[in-house]
Amino acid sequence: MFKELDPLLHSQLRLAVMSLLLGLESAEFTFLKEKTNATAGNLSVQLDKLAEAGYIAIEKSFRGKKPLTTCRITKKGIKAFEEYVSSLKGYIQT
Amino acid sequence: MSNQHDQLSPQQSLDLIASMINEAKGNVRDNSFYYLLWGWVLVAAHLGSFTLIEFEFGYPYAVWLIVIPAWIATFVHGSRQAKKQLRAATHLETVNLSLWISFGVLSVTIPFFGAFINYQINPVILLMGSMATVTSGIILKYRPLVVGGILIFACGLASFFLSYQQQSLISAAAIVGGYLVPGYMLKVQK
Repeated sequence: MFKELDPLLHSQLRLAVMSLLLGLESAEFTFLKEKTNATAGNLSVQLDKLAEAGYIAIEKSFRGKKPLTTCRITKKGIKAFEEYVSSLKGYIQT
Repeated sequence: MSNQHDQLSPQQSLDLIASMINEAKGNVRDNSFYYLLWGWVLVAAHLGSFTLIEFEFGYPYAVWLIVIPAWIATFVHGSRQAKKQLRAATHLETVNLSLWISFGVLSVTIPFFGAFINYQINPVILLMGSMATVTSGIILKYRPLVVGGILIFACGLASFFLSYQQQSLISAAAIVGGYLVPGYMLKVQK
């Protein structure tokens, strides 16, 4: 039987962000934007969705006068990601 | 990267995950400037200390004042980098940095308690440095640094048997051979 894929993760940009954050302690918005080639607006919306689900934590601060957004993956996010990958394996193997 | 509505096949999902994990890997901050700067500053201080004692200068410890410009350089470089670089921190990078910061804090603190350890400050700091170097080598999966750490350990033990002046010389040799040489080898490899 196929496990349902987490719709929150089964989207190109959100999955890309989660995969990047998985290997990092934290990453800045500009880093994620460059690595995913996303527009700032779209990335911002997707990050908010991930944060609302509790998959990532977003911290807003300032560096000098510029606003600084830092993201990190949460325990809940890691668990969801692991479940997503194990469901994917089910699809691939059959 | 496009919007959330596109349909990903399972294989595309896995490919995307793998490529993003690789992207994250290659983007660690390059901290080699600090590691190499401090290596050279300590070598210069030890050699300076050796020379001043040789010429019977009254205050050979004064040579350690060169750490002040080194701190300034560290802060200036740090603030410039903070503005420039795309910042993303890996766990191991953070562990490695904290390890050396802890070593730095201990190295600054221990000399104040020199009287309690019979002024065997150089051997103790070398032994602590050997631990940090070996651990860094393991974190970075770079064997020459592990070997370097063992060399520093040997020099640390040996310096218990030497005079303060000789300790300066062996400390400088330990830092060059056990830390700077593998440090440059690593930089060239990258």
